[in-house]
Amino acid sequence: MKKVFKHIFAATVLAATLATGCSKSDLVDLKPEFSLEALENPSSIDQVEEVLTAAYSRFRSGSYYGDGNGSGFSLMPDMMSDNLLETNESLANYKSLTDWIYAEDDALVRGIWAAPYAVITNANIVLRDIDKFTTTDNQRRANRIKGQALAIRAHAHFDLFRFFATSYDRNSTTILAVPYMTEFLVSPSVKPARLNNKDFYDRVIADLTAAVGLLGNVDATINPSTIKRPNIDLAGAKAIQARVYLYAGMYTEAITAASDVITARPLAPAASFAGMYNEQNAGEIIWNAQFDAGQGGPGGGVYFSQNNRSAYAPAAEIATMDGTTGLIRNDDVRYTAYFATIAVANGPRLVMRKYRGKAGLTDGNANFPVFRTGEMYLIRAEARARTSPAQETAAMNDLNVLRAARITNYTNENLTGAALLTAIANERRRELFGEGHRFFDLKRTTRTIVRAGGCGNPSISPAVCTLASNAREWALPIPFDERSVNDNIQQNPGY
Amino acid sequence: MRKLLLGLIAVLLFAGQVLAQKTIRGTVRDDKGNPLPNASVVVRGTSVGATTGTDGSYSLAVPASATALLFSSVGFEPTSVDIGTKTEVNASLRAAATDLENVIVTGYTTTQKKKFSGATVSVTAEDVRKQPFGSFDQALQGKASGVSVVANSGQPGANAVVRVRGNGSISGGNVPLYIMDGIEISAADFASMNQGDFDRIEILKDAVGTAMYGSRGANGVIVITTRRGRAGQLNLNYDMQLGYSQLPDDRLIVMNSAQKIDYELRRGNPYGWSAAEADSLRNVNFNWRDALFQTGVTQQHQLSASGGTANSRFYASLSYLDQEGIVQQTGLKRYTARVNVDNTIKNWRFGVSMQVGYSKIRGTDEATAYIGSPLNAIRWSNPYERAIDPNTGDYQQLGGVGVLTSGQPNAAMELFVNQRQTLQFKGVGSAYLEFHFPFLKGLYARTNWGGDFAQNEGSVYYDRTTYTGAQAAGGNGSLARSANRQFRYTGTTSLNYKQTFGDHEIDGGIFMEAVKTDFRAMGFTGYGLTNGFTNETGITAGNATNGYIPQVSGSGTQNGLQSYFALLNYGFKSKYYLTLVGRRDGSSRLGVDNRFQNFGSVGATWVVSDEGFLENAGKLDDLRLRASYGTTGNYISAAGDYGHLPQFGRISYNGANGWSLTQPGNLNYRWEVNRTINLGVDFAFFKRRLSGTIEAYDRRTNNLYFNQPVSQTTGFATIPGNSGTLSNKGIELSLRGDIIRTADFRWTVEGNITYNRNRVVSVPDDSIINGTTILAVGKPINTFYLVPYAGVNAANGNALYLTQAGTLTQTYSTADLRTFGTSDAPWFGGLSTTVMYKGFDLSAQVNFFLNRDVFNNDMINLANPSYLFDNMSIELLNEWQKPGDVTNIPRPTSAGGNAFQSNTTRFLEDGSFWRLRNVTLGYTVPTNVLTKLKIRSARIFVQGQNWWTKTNFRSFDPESSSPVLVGAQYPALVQTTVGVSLGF
Repeated sequence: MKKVFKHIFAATVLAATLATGCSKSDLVDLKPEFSLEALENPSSIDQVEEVLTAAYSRFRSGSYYGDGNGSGFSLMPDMMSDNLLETNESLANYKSLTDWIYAEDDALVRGIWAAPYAVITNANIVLRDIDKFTTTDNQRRANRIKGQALAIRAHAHFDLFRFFATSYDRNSTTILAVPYMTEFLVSPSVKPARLNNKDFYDRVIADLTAAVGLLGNVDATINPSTIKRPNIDLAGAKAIQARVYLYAGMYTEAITAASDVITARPLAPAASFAGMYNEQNAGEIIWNAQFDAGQGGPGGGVYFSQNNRSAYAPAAEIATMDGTTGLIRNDDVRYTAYFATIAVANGPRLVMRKYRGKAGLTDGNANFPVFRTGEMYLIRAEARARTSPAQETAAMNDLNVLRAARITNYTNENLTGAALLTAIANERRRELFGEGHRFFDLKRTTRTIVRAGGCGNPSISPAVCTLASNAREWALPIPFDERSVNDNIQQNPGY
Repeated sequence: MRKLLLGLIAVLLFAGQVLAQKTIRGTVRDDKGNPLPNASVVVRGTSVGATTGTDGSYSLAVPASATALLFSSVGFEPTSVDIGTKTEVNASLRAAATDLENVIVTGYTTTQKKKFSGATVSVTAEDVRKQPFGSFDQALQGKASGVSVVANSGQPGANAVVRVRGNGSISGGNVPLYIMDGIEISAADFASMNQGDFDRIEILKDAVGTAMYGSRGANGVIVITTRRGRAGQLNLNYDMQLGYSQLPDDRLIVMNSAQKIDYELRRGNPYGWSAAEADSLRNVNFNWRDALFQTGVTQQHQLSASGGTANSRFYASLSYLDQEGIVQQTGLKRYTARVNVDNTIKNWRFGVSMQVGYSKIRGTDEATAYIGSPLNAIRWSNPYERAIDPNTGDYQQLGGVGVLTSGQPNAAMELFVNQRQTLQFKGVGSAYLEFHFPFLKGLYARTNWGGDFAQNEGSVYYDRTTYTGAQAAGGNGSLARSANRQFRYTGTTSLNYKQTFGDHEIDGGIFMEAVKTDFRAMGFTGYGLTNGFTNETGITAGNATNGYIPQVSGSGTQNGLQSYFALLNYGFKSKYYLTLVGRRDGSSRLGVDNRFQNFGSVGATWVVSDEGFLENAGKLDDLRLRASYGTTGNYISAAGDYGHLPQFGRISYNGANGWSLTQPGNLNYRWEVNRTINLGVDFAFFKRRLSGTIEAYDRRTNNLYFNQPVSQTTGFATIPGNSGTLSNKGIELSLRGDIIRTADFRWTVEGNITYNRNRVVSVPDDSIINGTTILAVGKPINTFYLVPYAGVNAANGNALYLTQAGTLTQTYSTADLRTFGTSDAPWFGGLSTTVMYKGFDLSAQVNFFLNRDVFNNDMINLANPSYLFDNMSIELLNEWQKPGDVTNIPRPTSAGGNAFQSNTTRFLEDGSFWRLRNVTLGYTVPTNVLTKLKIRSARIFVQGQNWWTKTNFRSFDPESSSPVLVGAQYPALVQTTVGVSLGF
């Protein structure tokens, strides 16, 4: 019997040791080691600033400024317009957008809808938490963080608006803009409705006004680098204002904002113009979205430089290989910055080279210039020209100054009226080629696209095609899956 | 390796030292009176033993104290005979209906099949062992009712997709739990495991078996037991196979050179060929398929030994597999070693199982629509272009670095110049210690601990001369290395009791279990491989000027499970059995308040044939009715290990680190719970010559892991959640008939068929469209949702579609989307037959998957008129060209509302197939010949895998689990091997 007890004792000790060797804390209460849990964090102003960094990083999405999913706000507006035309080298990945055949189940449209809201979510976390960590000592730092978050929020919403609203009318209470998200909450109960244009503009303008106020009183230079301007500083927030005011038809405000930016960031001299696109100098960049090594770039969907694949080529009315016809010619500093003639098996052809790479590289790793001073001149010129005939001289002067900075031996022109507006529109097409404006500019002004150089893939598509002013395609459809979970959101007409 | 060999030798030597005082002779026969060779004879209570010779005789020196001899042999019921004063002891062993038919191994318990109320299938291990698959799960296809096994890839070593009773989860995992010798092993890295070591494979399908595994049991459990040593003379076996693999028939036909050139000319000559160029190109007819595929050689060797004494037994093996893929450069090389040892010392039992495997897997890019994948390039490359330029002898790159004229990468460069391989090490080891309490017969304590360790080292080298290498940062190639390791331990400690009291039988236990998994990964990609080296020496240090800035990554995760459970089997009068299972699991993967949950099952068996009223039922030998009900959880959640927590992920912008919200989290995350009802009937007639099982089940998944779609204005598309119900109901039938059963001639036919009906019962948001499929209430998951394609308008060549109202339209509209079939075959099964005549045996197995559809994206890429610049399907030769043309292929131009549309039924194809999975012809050398050769056993055989397939699906292979054939398909191998098995 003694032996029996010995065995029982041995077995019990063994079992107990083995069972308690693994306690609940070892097995069940585990915490992630490679991510930061978001229940208690951000827990310092440093972390709040790191969330702001993340908001910026989300601009790199393949649906936003990056490539791979349509480059919604960097190159798609050019690809959907008469600036860039699909070639035989295309893999047809962006056909649904660039041929205007999108329906509400289009995957690219879904990406364009989602990407800005992913930016906004991170900005909203910053705005939710920044005040918690603000003290009298770090007030100016907090201003710097909060001002950028507000500007980012306004900018991303405005980008959505440019694609999804049917018109940019400032005061309409019937035209629908997009939901304006100001709170961080991820839940099935979030079912925002589309604001009308008027309310939407009010929100955008309010955020920007607040941002400008905060960014005017900060603790440190936001963009100290001489080769890039990765963040939105005071000039950046004002540049966003200038663009918004132009779309809104608030010309006085547009002129003021643009003038402030022009003062802060003069035009780049011709010699340093090309350097803005390959990170050699910051030039007149106001804000450029950064793509670090290994993070790609904006241009691959148009010209994939790594493999010399030019899926979308500059239209002949923009530029040609010999540089003597088209809007941008070889006496223009923009010609060599934007285009290059590179050969394939079939012979040489003109490609968009803007985003080939940094320094001398051609790996497609380039930054995207969201705002440059050139645009500010054009905003001010257009705002002046549209304000009153009295301001046409000033408008023409803006245009002449800009052209003189770009074109060798430029002689000033003197235009008025419709001719002046056309000249400004053409100059926008030149200056902002490949920078995400043309489709929106046409939508804002003539509401007609005529692709003289053909539509879609040249071997299977019509030689000339148009998008009429009444076409539903001017506004993207609200994606099907948004509508299926959010019954408050209204579809655009025609879809 | 050397140490391991020494260990193996030591174990081998350990078996067999005995002292003797008295010699006993005798003969062992089976119940028909035939001599039984290789039977084991052991002196009871000692390790003294011998093995019978080919004539069934033995001679054994026994200690004077010996009282009885224990006779045993595989496939026979052991028996004990008292020695007394005899010097000749003969024995007659009664044939056990095989081991498989006798018991069920659940991983925690071993129960007589008669008493077990659960639905299980045992797969004959020999059938799995003999098939030369790099991943053993592929060999399970068609072997078990209710278990769908689909190969997604013919890449040697690639895992199959195994589903037990349908897909029970929408957003979570559907992979069964794999248990080997009592511990959980990953449902991966089977490439480094040797199925030659498998003794039993049991698949637990209903809650009686799976509820024992609680939160891990929902998707079924596959229990593998490896071979153990048996007391007796040392057995040494050598198994070898040698053969080759080939490409299956290709049913997706592309144009030849003349067809393609003529087609291009008709479409406006986009490359601008001159008449002379066109004429010359028409005759090229380069076959890209032949350039990339090959006949692969397979060889496999296994050396195994087993033996020991009654108190100490071992099994050990070494194996080597070298399987070349049918795509050049691909293949699997595998080395494994295993030692299993079992010891009995007084009331203690102790054993160890250890396997180590090392493999080298060379693969290629699969299941993509990427132009850089060589397997796509064979479809898309124009037949008038060549891999090698005949003039220069170098790779043809007429379109620039690494690319053809068309801009397609030269697939031969992608395959031959670039390199891609994985080195995998896997070790699975477990040990048990069992103590049988001497004061109470039937009471014992047991603890079983083991680890499953896997380490992968992957490397991908892109040469700078190739298309993909030119894309690397800095444009000069890249070298990516990745390493990951996963370690999981499983520890189970239990107190068990098994006893019979008159009419009552009790068998049960209480258990504690701990399972913890730890995973780590890291990797880097270096650039600028300019000095000719393809390893790290080739990498150039990066700066902003050269762009070679390397990428570094790493990640890791853990999960744990803490459990308590109890099992009880109760039998009454050997006719009525009840099984109860209760388990409480705590998991790290769930929201804090929901971490612990209970699971359980109840099952009952009635052995009807043992009832008095059936005693004279004549032809009926066996009839059992079974019923069970229970719950299990699905541990493969949709949210991953920490998905219940909202989390920020690290992200960089402008050289600074940031925190981006990557997971929205859900603090109420719970288990997805399966509730299974099972009814089963087992029967045997005509002296067991006809036997079978019918099972009917109702598997219902509640609290579905459901990545609930949310408004994208939140910054997220979905959040993890639990809601909705999914149902799988089905019937399984297995039948086996011994049509002819004589001493020299046997003919057996076996078959199983399963019907599984999958239905979404409820989801929070009905009709969620996901690409080409829809998740809709009342429909199976993976139901296709497409616009019906209705041919071509002969007047203008426009594609026609069917509206909801059933009228024809030329306008494609998402309003006309409709539901079609599903890619998960509701009907599947296998039929096999074996004929044995004297030493010859011939067997064949045909598997089928019926009533399934697959969306052929591979076809789309050959039919989209935009891809004119690359090769296309011959179907396009029938394109509409002029008014009046009656055809099914619309005109290629998109003007006038004829844009090419892919989400239509034009590309939905019947994915059903019948496949001759295996044919084996073997010859077992008779005993009299063997005696002369002084070997114990010998068998030679020749077998074929996938020799014949019947399908209408247009691709290499209809076998895929995905609803969509994306592209770059690595088809299942058509294999032929010759094998030899020798026993010494």
